[in-house]
Amino acid sequence: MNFPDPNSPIEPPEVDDITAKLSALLDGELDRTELIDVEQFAVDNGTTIDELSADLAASKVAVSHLVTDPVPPSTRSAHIGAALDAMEMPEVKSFAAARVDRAQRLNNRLRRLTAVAAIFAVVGGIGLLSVQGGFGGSDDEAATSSDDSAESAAMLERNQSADGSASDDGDSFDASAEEAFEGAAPSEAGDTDLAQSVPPEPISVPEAFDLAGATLFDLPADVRQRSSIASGSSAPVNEAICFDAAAELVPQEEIVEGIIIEQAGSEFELVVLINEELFVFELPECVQVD
Amino acid sequence: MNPPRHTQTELIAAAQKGDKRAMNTLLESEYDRIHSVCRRIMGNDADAADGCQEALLAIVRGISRFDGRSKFSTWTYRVATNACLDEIRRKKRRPLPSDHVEELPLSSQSHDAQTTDRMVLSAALDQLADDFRLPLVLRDIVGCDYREIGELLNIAPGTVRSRIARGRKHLSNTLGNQTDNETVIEPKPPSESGQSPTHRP
Repeated sequence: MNFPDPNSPIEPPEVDDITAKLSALLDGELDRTELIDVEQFAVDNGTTIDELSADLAASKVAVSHLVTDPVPPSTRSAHIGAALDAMEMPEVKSFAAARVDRAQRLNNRLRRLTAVAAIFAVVGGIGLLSVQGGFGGSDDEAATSSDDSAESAAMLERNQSADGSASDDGDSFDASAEEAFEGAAPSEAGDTDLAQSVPPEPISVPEAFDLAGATLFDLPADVRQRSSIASGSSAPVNEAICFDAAAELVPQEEIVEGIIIEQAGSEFELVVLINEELFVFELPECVQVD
Repeated sequence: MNPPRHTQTELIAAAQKGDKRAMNTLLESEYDRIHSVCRRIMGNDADAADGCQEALLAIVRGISRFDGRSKFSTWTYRVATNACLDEIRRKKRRPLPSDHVEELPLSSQSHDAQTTDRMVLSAALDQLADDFRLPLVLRDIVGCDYREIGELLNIAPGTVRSRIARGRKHLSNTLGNQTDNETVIEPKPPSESGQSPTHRP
């Protein structure tokens, strides 16, 4: 004999049309025609609508009274506290954004300085040429001197752009100044600046540690503390190298930072999400590890 | 001297500007009802805790979108309902039956009739399949009409009506059986046959 599973959900049997209409009547969802049908049914059976629907009405009232279930105070305060904490989350996000903004502002300042330096180099170079021309100096020497000045400007550029897009050949002073403005897109420059400000040094993680399915708080303490979430401080955010790959999986605003680790001779980035879950990407190709 | 009491409108305006104390006051005032809705939608205490947390987070994150066209409590109900339905969809599993099922008393000797009735009803509601429990909860606790329920659950209003009727009838039968089995529960109005309960413990 088969007994029903006590944990299996119950699907109540079908009800007759009158029961369905009586139920709808209690909810104020019966139209005029249907109401007449129900009234006629009651008359035919020598009863009233109220009597017919008494059990359903009792059930409806009883369910509505379940709203007064008590809640443990600890659960209540924990829930409300966590929700209120979430009001601060945008500030955490804006902190990260502020770092990028600050990096970009710094980068813009560097670019302006570079441009000014390039202009000085041009002016200085022309002046030097004039002086050397007046005293019989060679063009080569002038070029060498101006190369030095341009290289100074280019060094500033290199400080802001690690991708080598800025020119340091000194062939053209104008080109140097122009490249100082156009050598790197603002976002690239900003990322580079962040990367330079927080060099990602891999942290060694024991080979036995299973990264699959781990959350931020499953990680070894030294790794976990690299996260601004775990440290609870305004420590530098490690910009995620595999940001684009992670952004294909979750909305960008859920990506907090990346932590570089080394395990079994390979480098991985743990991309930390705002819900403290992690994506694991193998570097340098940002191949997601399941 | 008592601190000044703020109207709900003032609290909402302050919360929308990021005032945590105002938000706290609002959540405190609505918490019990929100939790109750979540408890009934989710079907068990453990999932209700998750659902309630998600609901509160959704309220905090969505407070700026509350435009005052409905009552705040109604809006929070709707937000909580959606958060819990999302949670159910996310979990993609039927919530486990409530612990109350195992704790049901065999007799009413140690409980008053109301408490026993409520526990029986709670267990019966929790045991209903989602398809039947959700429309009932949305109607009888949240107060949605059939059209709204249909939109929330993506089913036709006719289906909503049918499922509510079936669920309600089931609960009615459960309560009726309980009444028959409990000597201390007030008897329902006598039936035409005038028969007394036959299944006594």
